[in-house]
Amino acid sequence: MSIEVNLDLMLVKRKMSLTELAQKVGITIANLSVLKQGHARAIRFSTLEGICEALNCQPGDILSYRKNASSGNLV
Amino acid sequence: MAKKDTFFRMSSVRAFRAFISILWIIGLAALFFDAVLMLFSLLKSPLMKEKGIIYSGSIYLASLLTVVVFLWIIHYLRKLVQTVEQNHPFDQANPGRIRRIAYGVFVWMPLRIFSEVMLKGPSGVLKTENFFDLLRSDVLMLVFLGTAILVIAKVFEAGVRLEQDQTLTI
Repeated sequence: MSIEVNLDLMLVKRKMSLTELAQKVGITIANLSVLKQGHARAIRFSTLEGICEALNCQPGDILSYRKNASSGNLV
Repeated sequence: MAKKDTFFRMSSVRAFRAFISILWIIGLAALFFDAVLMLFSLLKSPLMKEKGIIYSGSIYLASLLTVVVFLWIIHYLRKLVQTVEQNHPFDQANPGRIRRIAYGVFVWMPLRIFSEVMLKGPSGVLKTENFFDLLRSDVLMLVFLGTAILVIAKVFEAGVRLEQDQTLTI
């Protein structure tokens, strides 16, 4: 798929670790890592809401669409 | 209530696994008896002198192959039950295991026909009564069973995909 996950970029911007974000959102580090690496197949609205709230950002800051992309942090 | 259900489900899975383990032991014993004892009895039997080594040897080989196919099916059935016991019924390898069980059933069919032909002779098998009996009780049943198992494998493939979707939804 061509949806890119920019979670690592937002974490750097907010100077937050993955562990901290996982604690704030209430999901496991393993699941967050799956999302960050682009191995996730789907994301729940509740998770997206939690991440946006914790990182004080918009869904568009975390997810972006890139045409014909084949690798990287893609969902 | 849920705990009770889980207990009964796990007990039935364990009982089924024990049953399969017994079948596995029976299969191994049958393989041993077929391989060693039948060979000795075949060498001494008058059939060997009457019909020759190719005829009696092919019955011996068909008998051995039937047991090997039986063990093949039991082996994959054991693996399947293990994954159910470990609470991973939609393991990625399970559709392949179910498909191999179906192939085992399909291989069993020609072996069954072959042994019938060897024991009764082609003319004996082609007698209307025997022929329809073999067709109805063995061939059709095994074709139906193998096809049904292949369909279950397809259903499991879809199940594995759904399980992966569920697991990878964050």
